[in-house]
Amino acid sequence: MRLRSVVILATATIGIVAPVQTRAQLPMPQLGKRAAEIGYVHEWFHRDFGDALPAETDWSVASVAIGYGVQDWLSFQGQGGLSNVRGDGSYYDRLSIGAGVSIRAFQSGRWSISANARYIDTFDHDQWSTQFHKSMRTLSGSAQLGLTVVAWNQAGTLWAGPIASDDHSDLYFNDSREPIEASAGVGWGASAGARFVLFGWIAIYGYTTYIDDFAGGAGISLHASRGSF
Amino acid sequence: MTTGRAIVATVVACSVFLAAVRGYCEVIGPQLPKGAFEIAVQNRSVDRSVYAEFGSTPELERQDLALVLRWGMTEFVTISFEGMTGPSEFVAGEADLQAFYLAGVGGQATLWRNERFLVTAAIQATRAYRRWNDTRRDEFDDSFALQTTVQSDFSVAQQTLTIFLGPAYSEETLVLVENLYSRRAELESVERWGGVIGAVALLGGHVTVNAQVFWVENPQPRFGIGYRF
Repeated sequence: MRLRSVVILATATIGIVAPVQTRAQLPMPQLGKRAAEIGYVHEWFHRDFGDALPAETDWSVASVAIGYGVQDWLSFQGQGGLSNVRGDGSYYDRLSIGAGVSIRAFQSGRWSISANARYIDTFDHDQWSTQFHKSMRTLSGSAQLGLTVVAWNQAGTLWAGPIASDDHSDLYFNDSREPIEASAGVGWGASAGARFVLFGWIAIYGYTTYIDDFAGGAGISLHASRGSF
Repeated sequence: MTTGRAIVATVVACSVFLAAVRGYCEVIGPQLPKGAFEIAVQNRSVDRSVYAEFGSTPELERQDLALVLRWGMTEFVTISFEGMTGPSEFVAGEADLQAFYLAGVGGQATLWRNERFLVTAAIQATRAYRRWNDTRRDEFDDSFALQTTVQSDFSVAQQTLTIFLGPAYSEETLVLVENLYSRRAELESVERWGGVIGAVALLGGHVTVNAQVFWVENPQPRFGIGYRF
């Protein structure tokens, strides 16, 4: 229990208090002990950077994600992706890396409260002559009130709760080695989502958040409830 | 586990894997037992000669550190991910970097086994990106590797020691991007065949210490330490 308290405190500190340069908002799934998942997730982000350049930024990240439930109350997740993205006058090689932790702090019957922290870092390398490279980083923390439900004989979880996100952007105009740094600051908002495990081994989930503007994500994973198939 | 479920799981895992593979790789270890999940940190050396059509033959010598996640997904399949970000010399093996990203994915499958030996085939791809502070040049380092190994477990001082060795194929591609002129030069390794030999000690049933030499053209050692759940 002492370890659990330390981990919860550390997660809350990293995810909510520490206003470090970052960006990310996806609530993580809370997996059961020895449950594992691998799948694809696509996320959309949108933050207002105020007077900094650009004033508004939206971006998306496509990742392969893997998760593991170390205990019934503690899950880890890693994600990463390589992709090509065509923008306005740009053609990006995109790399993204992320990691997160989810802790179930309380459970009573069908209700639970979880805390999550996540970091994701994305770099867009512009291959066109504009050479307008971009780096986006997010650190986020959230608390979720979850409800376990059964719909069409499939087990699922609905959740909602507050979220805090600190988003940071580096812009490299004309391949400059001195980036223009912009921070959206720590933004507070709310998130809500749903996740179902179909037939015991296919997890589908979607969520939305609101901080400055709406963002969200959706994913599908292979789910192994006892660690393997 | 039903046969149908195992087949679908394998097909989906391969699809996710193939969708993610674009680059270069080499973090393959012993095949994990069914249901095992491992988190590790691994240091990797790359030492290869790469060639371009116009004749330059630079040496590609790199060292980097990655967080590695491996999952014994089924009795016959182990999948792995690696990722890292952060421009520090400790992580990226280079001083004066502005950005460093590494992302990779791998898969390993059992070909044959008996009570003593396990024969596996593995594939992995990894991409690393480096951006320097003081030059207008960026670099993508892509690896693609295949290997077949024979592995066997031994008991040493009541701990488990796994030895694996076998032939390996490795393609190394260095993409130099001169952003100022929008020029890209791809330099590829010519010598691609070699072998791998490695050992993993499983201490106390959970802590793993990994050492291996990937020998294609030059000996390229890798070391890692991790925790197996």
